[in-house]
Amino acid sequence: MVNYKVYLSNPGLDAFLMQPQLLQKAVASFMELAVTQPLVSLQAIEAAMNERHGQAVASTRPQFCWAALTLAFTLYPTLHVQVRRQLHAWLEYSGHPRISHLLAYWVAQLCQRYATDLQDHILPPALKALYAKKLWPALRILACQQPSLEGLVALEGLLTDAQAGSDEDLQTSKDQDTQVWHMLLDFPAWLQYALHLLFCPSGALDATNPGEKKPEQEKKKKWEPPAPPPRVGRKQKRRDAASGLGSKLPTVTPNAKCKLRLLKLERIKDWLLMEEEFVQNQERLKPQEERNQEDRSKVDDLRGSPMNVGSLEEIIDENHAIISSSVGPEYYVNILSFVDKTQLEPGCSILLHNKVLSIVGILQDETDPMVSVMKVDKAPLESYADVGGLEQQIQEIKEAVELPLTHPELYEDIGIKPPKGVILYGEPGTGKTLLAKAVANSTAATFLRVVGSELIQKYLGDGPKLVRELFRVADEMAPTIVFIDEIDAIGTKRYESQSGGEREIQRTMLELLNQMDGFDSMGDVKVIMATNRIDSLDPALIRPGRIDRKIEFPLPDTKTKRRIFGIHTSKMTLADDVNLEEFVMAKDELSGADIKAVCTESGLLALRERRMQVKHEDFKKAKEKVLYKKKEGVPEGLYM
Amino acid sequence: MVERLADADSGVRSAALNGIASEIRSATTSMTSVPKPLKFLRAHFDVLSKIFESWPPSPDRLKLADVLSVLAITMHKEGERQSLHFKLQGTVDDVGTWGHEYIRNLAGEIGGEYEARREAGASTQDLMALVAQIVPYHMSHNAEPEAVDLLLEVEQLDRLEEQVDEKNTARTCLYLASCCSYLPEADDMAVLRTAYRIYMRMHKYFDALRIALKMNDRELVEQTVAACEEPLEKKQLGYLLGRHGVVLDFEDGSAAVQDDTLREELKAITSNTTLSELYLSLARDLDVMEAKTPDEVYKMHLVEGRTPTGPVVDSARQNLASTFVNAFVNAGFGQDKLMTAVPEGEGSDAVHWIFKNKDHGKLSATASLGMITMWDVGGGLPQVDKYLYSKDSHVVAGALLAVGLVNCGVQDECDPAYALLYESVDKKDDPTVRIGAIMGLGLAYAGTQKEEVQELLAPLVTDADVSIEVAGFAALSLGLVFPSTCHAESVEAILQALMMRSESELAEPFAKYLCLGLALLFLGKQDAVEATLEVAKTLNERISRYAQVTLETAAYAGTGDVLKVQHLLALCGEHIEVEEGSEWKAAHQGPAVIGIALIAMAEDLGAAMAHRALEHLLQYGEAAVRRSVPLALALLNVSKPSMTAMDALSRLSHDHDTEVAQNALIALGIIGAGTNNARLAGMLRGLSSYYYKEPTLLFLVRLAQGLVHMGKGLLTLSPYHTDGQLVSGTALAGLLIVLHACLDMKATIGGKHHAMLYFLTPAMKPRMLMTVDEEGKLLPVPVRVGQAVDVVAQAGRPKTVTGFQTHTTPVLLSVGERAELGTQKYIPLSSVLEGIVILKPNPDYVEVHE
Repeated sequence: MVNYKVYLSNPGLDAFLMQPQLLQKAVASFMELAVTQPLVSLQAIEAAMNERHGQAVASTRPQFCWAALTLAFTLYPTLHVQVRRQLHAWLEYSGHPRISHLLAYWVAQLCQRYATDLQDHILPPALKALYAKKLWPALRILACQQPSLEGLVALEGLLTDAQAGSDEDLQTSKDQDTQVWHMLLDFPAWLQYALHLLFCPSGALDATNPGEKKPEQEKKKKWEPPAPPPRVGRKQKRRDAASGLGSKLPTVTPNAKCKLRLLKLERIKDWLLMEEEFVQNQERLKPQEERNQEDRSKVDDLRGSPMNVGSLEEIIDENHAIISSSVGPEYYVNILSFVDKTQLEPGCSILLHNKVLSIVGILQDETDPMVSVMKVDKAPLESYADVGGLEQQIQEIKEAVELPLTHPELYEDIGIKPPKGVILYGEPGTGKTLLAKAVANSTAATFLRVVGSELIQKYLGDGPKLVRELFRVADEMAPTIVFIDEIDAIGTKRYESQSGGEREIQRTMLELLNQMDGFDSMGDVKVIMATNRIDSLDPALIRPGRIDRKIEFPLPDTKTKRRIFGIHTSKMTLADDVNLEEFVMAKDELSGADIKAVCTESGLLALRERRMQVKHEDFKKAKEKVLYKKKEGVPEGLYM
Repeated sequence: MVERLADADSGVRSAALNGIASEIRSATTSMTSVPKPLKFLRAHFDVLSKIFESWPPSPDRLKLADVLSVLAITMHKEGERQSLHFKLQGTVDDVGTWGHEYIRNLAGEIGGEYEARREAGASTQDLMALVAQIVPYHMSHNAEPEAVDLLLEVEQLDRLEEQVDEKNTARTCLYLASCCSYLPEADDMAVLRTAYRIYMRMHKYFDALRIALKMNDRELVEQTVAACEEPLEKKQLGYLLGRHGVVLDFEDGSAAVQDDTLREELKAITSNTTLSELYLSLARDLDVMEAKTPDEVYKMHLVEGRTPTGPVVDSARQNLASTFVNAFVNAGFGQDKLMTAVPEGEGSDAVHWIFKNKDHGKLSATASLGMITMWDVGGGLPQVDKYLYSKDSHVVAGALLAVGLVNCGVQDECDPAYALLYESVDKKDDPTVRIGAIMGLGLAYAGTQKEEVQELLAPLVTDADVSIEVAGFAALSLGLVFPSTCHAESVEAILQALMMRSESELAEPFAKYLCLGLALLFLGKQDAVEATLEVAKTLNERISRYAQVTLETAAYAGTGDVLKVQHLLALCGEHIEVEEGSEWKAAHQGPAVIGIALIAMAEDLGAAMAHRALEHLLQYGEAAVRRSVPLALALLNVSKPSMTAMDALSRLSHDHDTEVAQNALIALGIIGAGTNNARLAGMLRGLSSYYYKEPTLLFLVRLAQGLVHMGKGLLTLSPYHTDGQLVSGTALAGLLIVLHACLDMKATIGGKHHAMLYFLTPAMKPRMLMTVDEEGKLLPVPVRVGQAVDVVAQAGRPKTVTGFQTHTTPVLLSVGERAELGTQKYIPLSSVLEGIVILKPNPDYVEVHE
């Protein structure tokens, strides 16, 4: 009792009503009061309101009403009829828009239980229009859940009253109610009749509505800007980057393994997860596939099949171009609107409609089939374990080629740039190709292998083009290791030459030079070259910056020879008398390949004599034979 | 030797042990393979550990534990932490002797172990002893990041302070500072505080002040200034404070200065009174003093095809556009060819430009005078003064706004703005004049936290009899004057207004500025916003969600908080059925999109990822979302015309939805603001002929052109300064106001309230680098200007700029560029070369004669 009086008489009422906590307190105290003495509390509130009204502080009144109404609606069922009537009267009195929101909610809740309240004896007539607006949801609840004659009649009365003042809101939700209507068909006839009364007049109103809308449509068509000018011309190199707001992930800067890097990477992961979640949600709501399917089939219809392939000669304007088909003649044709004009550039291959020859699509510039052949899909069987010796070389090639791809941060830690490429050189048969195979075997990076002679092409300009393609593909599939065997096929020193073929080869090499250390950065592409004539290579090719490491493959020393013999004889059945040390320690210059040949030869000799074991004698003969062959029949010691 | 270890004789054992240890240490390790001794010993690991178990405690046992610990790193299995286990049982000193790789491994294991123990609640004493060993090792071996990581993981950042010295301060603190934006809340502050203390210990006050400003901690700022003894250095601090817009009291309080002359100088520096002078001298130096007319900006002769002439064009709009372009282009120069130039021939037919505009056009025209004379209080006010007594209320309002513009970012001793403005605020009969005065106040005192302004404006906000327009602008001005302060009275006043206004009033576009003003008070304050957010939930549903989103995004501005972004993305993903008359239901989506940009804009990574998110929003979002995407893009790229953003916006500027196109146009202006970017200018010229029939769109194209040539290319709008580390609250607030205004283009910029564009003024700052000598005179020195490189956690002394060019100061710096001194002759007193830098001669410099 004391509490509410304090609140009501407080001159700072305006202020404290602004603060939710205080407001709640006030309402709580009202409620306490209302449960025990509803009438007293109402009178108190009314008195307070009148007082406020007198002070002409307009802004606080709605606030106060709101408080009072919150209270009233919570207690509505328990209140006396007298009190209910009083509450309805207030609604009229306040007429505040915020209250009408509450009202809708409240009416829907209570209508079915206290439908009688809506009849005249409690509800003031002026409020009927207001109520009727909010009644549609209430009616639905009522009709579906608890059809009672009493309530319907009350509502009907309200609605007919309301229709006198034209209420268009009533009609808006009418269509949704057909469902309710169907449900009600099962009800007794009198109920149907009652509902019919309810719905009919609104239907009549509906009919007038479309007429009003027409003039709007006939309004003069607004000026619309023409289609945006297309951006034709040179195709952007990285189409993805230009079309979107960055499809690439940002680079994370400290390359060292530290917490900052971890945190940054985690942040990126978080963002990506959010994107995923967002896209998934959106797809669930509005599946993109379905949306596009229709368009796609339409586009397919327009394109027709089969399509011709031609090449674009010139773009005339936004919608027209000159094309040439493979047969010969050139045509002036349309470009269909769904073709992405940003991707059109003179010289690209396009799809043409088979009859009218209009451009219906673009062929993505395919990678040269020559390049795709170079990719090593099946890892070679040779691994580092199959390389006898060459420990120094293995380490060097690992540092230069593999580690920069797997652990770039190590180089950054030290503050150096990892080498771009290495060249392997040395006598024939010392294991250059073998080592490259081992690298291909062990790495997870894409491995492209080329032989120098492959780069020499029949037509002028094809060789350099192939080199360009090669490096473009390598960049696309980065990290990549490119292995060019027998580089001396194209990489010989430049000299004045008259023959066109020679010059073409030199041009191919120049392209290679450019690709390896030219204007465009190579990124995660490493180059391995192999040759046995490094002295004949062009100095520009093997300068540091292009080839940072030159790895020599010497003839094996005794230790290595022993291991190579070990590797090759490990699967052979040897007789007890075989003493490999003799060959190992011999002064002859045996390369790895020679040793292999000796082993194979000895095996063949043993087979010739139908033995299942290889004897020392076989090895001796085999060695002589191999060495003889190697010296090309020149007897030993002839020139000594 | 392994067998010997099992020997009974302790002498033999000890010898064997030493043998193993020296083997391991002397083995040259290669990057790729495990050292041989370790390879060999691996096989015996189990044997050794058994032997270890069987030995009684002795010095030898400790040594063996060490050896085992080293061995264990090669036997590593996830989560076992054997290495640490043995190390803890072994000797505690000389960890360094086993090599770097070992230490790294150990540090990693300590981190894991600490986490495990903390969860189990066990003591971590022994770990700390090890940490105390490892950290100095890291610090002395150029591995500061690792030391910091370790300490972060064991939550012992305080230890770092003792370890830093002259050489590694810079790198350590750089690492700390760049970690902070990715660490969770609470941790980030701890990191910054550590960095602050290190800088203070090393007497690097400039850097310390930078960190203090970053933390937005006034007390620390004052402490730093007070701690700095050297007068020159103090002046340098003053320049930074002036750029950031912090006003300190040098008379009394903790930052008081005893010396009278120094105090006066400092005051002048922090209140930017010399800004206008310096700016003009920069302009003279770069030879751009000549005033430019709007036509010189439009460069119509370069436009091919349709020329936007003839009667189609709304000429009032055209004049208005020219007004704005003229104001932006000649901002701060004090002279132009429309406003200040004396009309030729004094005759009756020479009408002043102001009166060539209509109604509210006059307001903006008069106000443009303020922008042209910006920062020059002495020179600008007399020019504005004559319009204050005009009979036309629009002119008066414009003049009042101009007063505010002149004083924006500059505090004059006589404080003329308040005196001129406060009377007009109470003019009840004329809302136009009132709004002008209110905006003027807000701009003049942006960021100063002047209490008088609050006393003047708060009643206006709460008064229910005042129109919502006036209240909205008053709230905005409050937000501008007290950004990120959580100023209690202002918050209360605005909240009260929001609760009291009726629904129809809240439906007005200006009600949104109540929310925005409120949000600005909490800019970057993170948690402090919670209570207000709760209140915002109880507001009328028309405004409630808008208020919530605005508050939340402003409070978490620049934090990169991923959770908030997730929430916002979810909001943007809703597909709200919008019918005629219920557009307000989707109104909160606009600020949500801008909010994503706002939260992510602080660091490059977040910004790049936000771009991606925006792309998705464009793809899936409803109209309300799509409309605000250009604005978000603009916020992410303020004064930074990157190719991707430019391409995307140019795509959007041809959008079918006119509002998207409109926003894209403004966004194009903002991303190119003050850059004179030729590509962008060409693009806008193309657009101007494309939209020649649409007056509103053409107006916006013109605006964008004006923005691109803002200050003839000497200005920037970017709120980030000092190497992109500090965000100026007022600048961000100004930008946000304009962006929010663009959400409702029809009612604001495209309609009557185009004067809201002047809210960009707080963000306008010269993008110069000027070097001055000890006396404050200009001192031309060569500097290298180039693209900034992220050098965090890089070894050695990496280059900080790339692709640089050598210029002589003063020079202009674009966003993302950095400068370094090109001569050894002088030492800069500031570690970041931006704004005004004091140079002092290098005592060690020896002139080299050729």
